[in-house]
Amino acid sequence: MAVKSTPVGNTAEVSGFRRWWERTTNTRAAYLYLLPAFLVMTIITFYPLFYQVWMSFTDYNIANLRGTVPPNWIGFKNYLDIFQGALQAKLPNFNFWRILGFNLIWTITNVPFHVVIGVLIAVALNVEGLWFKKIYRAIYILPIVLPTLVIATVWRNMFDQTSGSINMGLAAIGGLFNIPPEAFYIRWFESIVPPFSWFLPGMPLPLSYYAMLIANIWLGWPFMTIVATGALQSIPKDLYEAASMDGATPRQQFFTITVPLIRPAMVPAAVYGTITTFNLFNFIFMMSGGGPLRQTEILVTTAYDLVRTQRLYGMAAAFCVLIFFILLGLTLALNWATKATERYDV
Amino acid sequence: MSEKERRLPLFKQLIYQIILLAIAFSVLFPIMWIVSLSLDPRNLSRPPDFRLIPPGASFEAYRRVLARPTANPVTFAELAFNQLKLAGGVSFLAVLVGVFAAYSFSRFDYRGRKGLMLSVVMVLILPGIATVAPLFVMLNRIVIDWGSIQFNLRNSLYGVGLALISGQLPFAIWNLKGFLDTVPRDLEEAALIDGAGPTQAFFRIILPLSTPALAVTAFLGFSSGWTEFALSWLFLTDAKDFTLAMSLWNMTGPYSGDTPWSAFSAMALMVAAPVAIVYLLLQKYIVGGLTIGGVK
Amino acid sequence: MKKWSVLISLVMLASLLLTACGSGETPAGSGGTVTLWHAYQTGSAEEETLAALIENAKAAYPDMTINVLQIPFSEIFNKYQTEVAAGGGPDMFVAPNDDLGNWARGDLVLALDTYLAGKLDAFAPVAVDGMRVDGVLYGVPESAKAVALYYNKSLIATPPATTAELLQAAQSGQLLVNVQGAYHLFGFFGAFGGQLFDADQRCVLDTTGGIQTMQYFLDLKAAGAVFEPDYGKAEGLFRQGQAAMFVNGPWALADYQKDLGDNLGVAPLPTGPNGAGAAFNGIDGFYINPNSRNIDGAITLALFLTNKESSQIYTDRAGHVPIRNDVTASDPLVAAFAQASAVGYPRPQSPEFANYWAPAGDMFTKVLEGAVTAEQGVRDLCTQMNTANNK
Repeated sequence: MAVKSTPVGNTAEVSGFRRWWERTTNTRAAYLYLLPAFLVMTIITFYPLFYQVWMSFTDYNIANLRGTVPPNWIGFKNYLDIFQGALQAKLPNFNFWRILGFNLIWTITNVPFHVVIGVLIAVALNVEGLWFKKIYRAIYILPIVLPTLVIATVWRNMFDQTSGSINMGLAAIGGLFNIPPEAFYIRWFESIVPPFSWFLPGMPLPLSYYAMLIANIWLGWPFMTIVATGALQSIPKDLYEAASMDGATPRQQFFTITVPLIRPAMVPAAVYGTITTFNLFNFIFMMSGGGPLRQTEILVTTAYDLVRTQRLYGMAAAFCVLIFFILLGLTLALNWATKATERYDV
Repeated sequence: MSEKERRLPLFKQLIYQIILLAIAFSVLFPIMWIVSLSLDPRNLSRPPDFRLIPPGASFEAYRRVLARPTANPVTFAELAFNQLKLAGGVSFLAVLVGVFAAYSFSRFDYRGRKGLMLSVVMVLILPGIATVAPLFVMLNRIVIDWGSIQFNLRNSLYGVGLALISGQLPFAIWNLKGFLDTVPRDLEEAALIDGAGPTQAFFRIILPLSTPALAVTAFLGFSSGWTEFALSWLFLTDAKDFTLAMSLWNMTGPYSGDTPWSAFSAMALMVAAPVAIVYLLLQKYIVGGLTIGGVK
Repeated sequence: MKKWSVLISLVMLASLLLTACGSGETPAGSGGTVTLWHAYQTGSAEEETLAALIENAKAAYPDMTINVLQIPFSEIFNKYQTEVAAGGGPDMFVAPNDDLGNWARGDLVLALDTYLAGKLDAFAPVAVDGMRVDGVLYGVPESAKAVALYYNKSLIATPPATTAELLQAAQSGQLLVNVQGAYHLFGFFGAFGGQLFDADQRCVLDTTGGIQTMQYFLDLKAAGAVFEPDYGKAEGLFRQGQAAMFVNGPWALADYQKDLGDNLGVAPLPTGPNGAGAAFNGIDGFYINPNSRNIDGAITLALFLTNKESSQIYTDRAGHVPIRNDVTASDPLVAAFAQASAVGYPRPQSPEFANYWAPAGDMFTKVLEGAVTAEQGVRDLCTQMNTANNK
């Protein structure tokens, strides 16, 4: 929305140029304000991105790093190699479609848990007359506050086969039923045979996926709770009182009052959660490292691997271009889904 | 309607308390575990028992980490200072540059506004890895090689900082724009009627008003820079430039042998502590900052 | 006036810079700055030994500034290659000759024939050959490394000498720990006649005994042996006295001696029905970066760290297997490793060898986790390797 800048009381006794200059003061100011940010972004974001597109059509590797030897133009070969799995020799078990599929499954199974658990806990915390609310709120923020590196390593340690607390806890429970502790030496990160092999036959979901799912849920719901709490507190209590006076049960109140009113806040949070989960590099890299035989690799961990260990910069560039288009598609899909849900808004 | 909070019947209260306590336990358990590991003088990767306070608990690990964090000749203070410079510098610059762009997006209307905003959002969703390879290559070319002065931009904290800004700037712009959208225009309009230009309105009125949002955005950027290790690891080779998060990560590699768990946990807690404490103290503002930025 | 002062300051600045350039000159080879990278584990005996040797070097060459940087073993090859390709990197680094062939072909290490002419006479020929690729010398050898069978005397008095005995020991409850990986487990192939490459560098494991070896591993696993992908965990079981036997190399000898004292024993890898066990014999060496600005200084340091006194210190304090003719190991355990090196399989430096690691690592994982049969696993390995090598 434009801000009027014409001072009151100015006469029309000025030249046409001056009038144009004044009229466009705001537009100029607008562009001027944008300048530093976009200058920086052009140099360190946009230019590298375009450079990367160029790199993706070459066979850029470490021999070209110094700049003295230019890389060779190879057209779409990198892309074809990725799709047809010709990368197999360098990256055994590389299968682009499986990685993409796993990435999608990882995202789709994580985010609903985060949102549902987060909202439920926020609602629980919002109950009137509850003791120790402030303490619980302070505790529930902790997963976000700790660095991911630490969290991933601790969880990895907790899923250790013989001395991780998860297996020890399961063994303790099993002991109550006289099941020997050896039954619970679950090799979360090493076992490569999926526990539910009938599910999604083309897409093995090994135990390390389940381990990371549990850990990521632990990590993910507090953010949703925070957002939901903010939204819940803006719902006037009268609505609930009026509803209960009309005889609505708490469950009905939840679905007819709470859910629609927190939707405007939860939807962007869910979208943000979806994007971050889709790109969750830190966690997966440090917990399973791509998993047994690359079964838990997602797109970004593969890209990092291509850059860091294989140093096939041209191939990595092609991969990143593909990631960009996939994310674009994902964002558009999310956008469409968000608009679709808004149609049902109160 | 009564103003007092309605009392919750006791048995309902107890049920809620039990559920919330169980959840609090699940949240706290990994944290208690790592605190316990850090106090354990036996330095085992696999404690044979399931105890919270290990026998002979001591702060030995903390002392060791503070004295000699890595095998390289760099002190804990230097590592922390490098990380501070990196995280602080990047977040400060991102906010500084971003607030202008956010103001422009929020207050003005001009051709191309939607397109430019879209480009910012596009960069926001792109993972950092997407620009790592070309940045490595590009920054590597900026070299000063003159006799005994050798400087490679890529192999310095400045290079890492530039790469990090490319990720934090869009976030700052997006978050601050969201905040500025909620600030009513009346104040600016009043100032403009009184004859001030848009620049003056910005500096005299908007900036002071936005200080909490600026601080929160800067803090969020700082906390992500504080634990950044992947880029630093890829770019740096001089021990003097190493950062805290990098050294922490190096302790856990596959050939690190017996990961010195107590040292690792001690260092991890020391790395996490400053950010965690500030977060807890400023909870209210940060939560406000997150939700406001999120609501488009 | 202003212009003059600007000119004067520029001249002063220029002369400052020039003298700064000039002051780097000292007697060739004993001064300047040398940066050395290593991958010895933090807190290990190897690392302490190197630190002590560097102190000696600093005393011997007071004009030299020596910077040492430790990079984790899983990272050092990557980082070195990337840095050198980008135009920088350390002056020198010490590492096993794992990938020397590829480094040489990629111009990542300096050819040293002219610098070292006549200086390596005291070294065993097999060690010097380990530093050669296609006849060109690329490094100064430091020690030899081949894995052997560590055993805990308090748990098992006589170590098994044949594969059958090992299987029996495992079946009778003695815990054998193996690091599940393409490096540590290679030594057993020799016992079953398995050969990795034929003369054409084609993978022939599937026709020469590789399948029997993998089947043997499966038998061991069924008998209770542990195959652990995590090096630290595997090592921990042995160091804490739970495992009776552990296959590992001499770099950890001093650390294990600290843990187990006199109970530590070293035996050669068991012989099998078709031959003796033959682990990879790698040579650790000091390599020089072609980008180095102080090549002479780096070579001086490398020769110092491998001279008679330093090599003796390496042997005595870190358990390294000496490769100099004038240094002998007094410790029988080190002598056992020397024996393992002598019968070991020298690491090939051919480009085809680089494609062994990833497929082999995967094969071990798949077979030992029960996802594929031994036969399928080895056949797949050879197929993958031959395809990758265009054979």
